[in-house]
Amino acid sequence: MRPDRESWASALASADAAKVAALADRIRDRATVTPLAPPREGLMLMQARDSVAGAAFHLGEIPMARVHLRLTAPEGGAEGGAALMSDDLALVTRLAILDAALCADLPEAPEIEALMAQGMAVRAEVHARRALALDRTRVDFQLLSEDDA
Amino acid sequence: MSVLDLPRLWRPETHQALFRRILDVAARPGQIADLSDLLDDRAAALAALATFCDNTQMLADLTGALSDTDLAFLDVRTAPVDQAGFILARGAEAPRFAPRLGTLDAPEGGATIVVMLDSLTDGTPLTLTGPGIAAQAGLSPSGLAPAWLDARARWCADFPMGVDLVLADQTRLAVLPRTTKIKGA
Repeated sequence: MRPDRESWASALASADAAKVAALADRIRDRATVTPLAPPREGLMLMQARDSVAGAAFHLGEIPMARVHLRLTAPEGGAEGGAALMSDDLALVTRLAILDAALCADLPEAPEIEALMAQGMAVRAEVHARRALALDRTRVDFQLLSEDDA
Repeated sequence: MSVLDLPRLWRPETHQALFRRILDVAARPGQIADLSDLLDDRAAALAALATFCDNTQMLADLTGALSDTDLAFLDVRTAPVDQAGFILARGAEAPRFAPRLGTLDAPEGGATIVVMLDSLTDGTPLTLTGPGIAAQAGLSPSGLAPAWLDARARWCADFPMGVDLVLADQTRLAVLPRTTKIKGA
């Protein structure tokens, strides 16, 4: 089953990079790829919200790359895009190509979905490991008022 | 081989070459820059905007000639004509707008107007004098309504405030800075 489209790029970014590159390049070589906006890579300010007052603040600068393109293949075409916290513009371009190919339901769609499933499994494992590490830092505060009760 | 090949007009090395050629003719009013080897069939006016504009600038397109993709590549904000730092207009249509002229403190706030013409060499001869011109220079724009020269004279009357004009036909362009005096209209 396909995840929501907004998760495609992050799932594919966690999959086997060589397989992602090979598949995207294979699709690019048999299709026409037209950029719809200048590919960008650089630093951007990441805004976060503190968990107490809910006030917005700038956490810091993060590397960011984004690509917006149109993919046209003999079977059909679609617009694709990807934006990722990364300075690897080649990777983000390939993710945008795969995004468009999946949108257009090209014959390579099952291969893309398989890579996406692999990437999501990797992400789930990383999240589980982080959750475990975070859990070890959890502390319970006992309030004096509770002792009195 | 890069993963994504950009159209020639949007490559950094093209912008560098365009900048040099436009700078040269801006310093020598009356001279014409031939951009045909850099354009890949796109208009010289678009090449000028590609050189001038970025996401800190505001553009008013009075021609409707720019596509959504062009605007995305220019990465420029659009604005009403009286607020825009850059204006794209057609020379055949008399100007009916009031561009930014800058202020005495900040004359660089005056707009740069890119005017699309039929030709830079087949029209009514104009005589140019002023900074960057040894004695006098000539330019013969075709497809420039006479009202443009009246409007420019009005806009540039209070130097250093005023506007700078970039006249562009399909493949070439010339620059008329606000310092240039024009006779022969």
